[in-house]
This record gives sequence, C-alpha cells and structure tokens, in this order.
Amino acid sequence: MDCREFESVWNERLDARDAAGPSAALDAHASACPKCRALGARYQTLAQALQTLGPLPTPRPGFADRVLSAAAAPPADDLIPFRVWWTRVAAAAVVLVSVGLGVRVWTAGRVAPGVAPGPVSAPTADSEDLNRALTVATRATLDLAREASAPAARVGRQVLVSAALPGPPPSLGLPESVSPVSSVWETVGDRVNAGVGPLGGSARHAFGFLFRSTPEAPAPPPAAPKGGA
Amino acid sequence: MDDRALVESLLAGDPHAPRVLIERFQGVVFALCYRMMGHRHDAEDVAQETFLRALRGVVGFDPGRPLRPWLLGIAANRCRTALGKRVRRPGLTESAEDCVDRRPPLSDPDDLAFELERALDRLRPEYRTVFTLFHEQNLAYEEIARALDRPVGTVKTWLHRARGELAEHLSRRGVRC
Repeated sequence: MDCREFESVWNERLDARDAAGPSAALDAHASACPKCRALGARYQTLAQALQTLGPLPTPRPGFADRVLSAAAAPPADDLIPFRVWWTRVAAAAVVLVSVGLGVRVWTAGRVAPGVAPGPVSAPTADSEDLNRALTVATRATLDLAREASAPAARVGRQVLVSAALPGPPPSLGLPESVSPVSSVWETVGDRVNAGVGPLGGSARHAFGFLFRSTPEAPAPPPAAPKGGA
Repeated sequence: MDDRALVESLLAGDPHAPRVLIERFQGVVFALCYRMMGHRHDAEDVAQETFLRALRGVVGFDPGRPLRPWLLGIAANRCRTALGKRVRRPGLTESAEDCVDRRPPLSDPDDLAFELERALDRLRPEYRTVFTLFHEQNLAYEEIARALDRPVGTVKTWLHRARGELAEHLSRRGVRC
C-alpha cells in the first residue's frame, strides 16, 4: 500500500460507514509512514465525530400550514413590482415613438417615381425646404473657405519671411480689398502689422509647408558624367 | 401511502396530497436547508420555497422516481441561490471560509458534535451539500449525483475533499480521539 491508497482506503471505510474497526493493511502502512500515520489519526477522529451527528433539526410547528397558505396565494414570480412595470411601459413608449419618427422621416425622404409631390403635402414641403437650406449652407461654407484661405496663406508666408529677416520687420500692408472674414483674421493682421514676430524654430518647422509652396529657383542641370559615354 | 401513490394523488389533484408530501419530507428538506443556511429562519424560507416549487413542478414528475432525492435536489438549488443572494447583500459578504478562526482552543475534547458542526460551517457550499446528503441524509453517490445534476465522480471528489478538510480542521482545533 502506498500513501495514495492509504487515503483512498480511508474514504472507502467512511463510505461504508464502518470506519471504527481496525485495519491491518492501514496499520502496516501507517507504522512505516509518519505522514500517513498522522493522516490516519485525523481520519479516525473524523470517523468518531461522524458518529456524534445528532438527530436532524425540524422546522417549527405549523410549517406545513404555512407552506400550504403560501401555495394558495398567487406566486410571487407572477407579481411584477411597480418599478419593473413602469420601466417596461417607459421602454415600450420609447420604442413606439422611435419607430413612429423613423417611419415619418423615411416617408418624407421618399417620392414615388412619376408622382409629383403635392403642394399641400407637408412632409414633401419640409423636405424641399430642408434641401434648399442645405444647399445654401454648403455654398456659403465653400465661399467662406475660399475667401479665407488664400489671404491667410499669403499672410502666413509673409510672417515667416519677416521673422527670418534681420532688423525691424517690414510692414506687410495687408490689402484693403480683402475684407476680414472673422475677428481672428483681424487680430492676426493687426499683430503682424505691429511687427510681432512670434515664430520660433519649432513654429517655423510647423509652418514650413507654407515655404514649400513658394516657387523655387530651377535646379541646375546635372553635371555630365566624367569620362562621358 | 407510498411515494408512488403520493405522486399519483398529487397528479390527480387530491387536495390532501400536498399536506402529506410536506409532512413526510419537511424534516429532511429542512435539515439540509438548515445545514446549508446556518440559520433557522432562512432555512424555513428556503424549505418553504422548495415545497412550493415541488408542488408546481410535480406535474411533469415521473411517479416511478424516488421523491426524496428530487426534493433534496430542489432544496440544494434553492440553498445555492439563497447563499448567492446573501453574499451579494451589503454587510454580509464575509463567508465562513473567509473568517479566521479566533475561537479559543477546544476545552472539551469530547464535544465532537459541536466541533464537527463548526467545521461543517466552514466548508465550501458544494462540499457541505454533498457531505450532508451523504452522511446525514444517507443518500448514495448516484442519488446525490442525480439530485445535484453532477457526475458521480464529481460528487465523490467533493465528498473526499470535504472529509479531508473536516479532518484537518478538527486536528487544528486539537481534537484527538
């Protein structure tokens, strides 16, 4: 018998609810193995403790009546708490409204082919108004960007050039024809005209792309290879 | 009336059958619940819920099956659910297995039953369930496996580990026989 079998045999004895008697095989192994001897002593204590388990506890008198009364009442699972009920109603309302709005938007954006939208159709009129407003807004945004970007790029290049020049910065002479499109533009122009040269090395590095857009001198033709072909 | 006749009476709608069922099995069901919950009031609540579920679920029950393992299986499940709720309840998160045993050493080595019950309280719930069903309710391995819906090998492993932990705990408490 090895140590693993020793514990297994002890469990078999406890399974059989007959662990009190001596066992020659267990005793033989325990006498040669101190670890299993201690383990056997612990199991022997447990076996005796199992004999002391008392009678099963019983519920208080009237338990059956209480259960039968509860069985006669509606099951608690069927009673939905008010909070849960209210949450479900609110969720259903949200879903209903969402579906209604979705259907309204979908039908407003659809015009059947070959069918002219009726002048009194409110969804169609709304859609046309919306499209017209969107077109105007898009055009205005593009015009604004076009107006603002060219002068801004020119001023940026001049600022960089003036920051690189020694001595007092030249007056940039912002064109009067270009109407400022925002207060930012006005502020930048005022600062530049006042001679503020705010660009350090890192700023020049960041705005270097403005220099690259300036026309560069044509590169010299490549030298003919020595020795010629 | 044996168990089979009792089930047939329940299925036939006999108004006296539910009381017979409860009175016959309230002891074993309550004992398991008490061992698992460690509190009489909680044990009664869980035992009551067990019988309510059994009375509702008996419709599909096979009269040829034994009633006791079925009821104990329901009770074990209800206990596990109740213990889970108890752990999630604020202020009651400390389980017995997390507690440090600060009790004084055993003064009366003969009080084995008391020490065994305290040691049982410290077992993991699944170990405690299997130990109780085997040693207190005298169910066989196969019956426990059916009741808990676990393989027999798992039940054996849990029971052996439960015994090992109990024996170790008794030894640490200075219990010698």
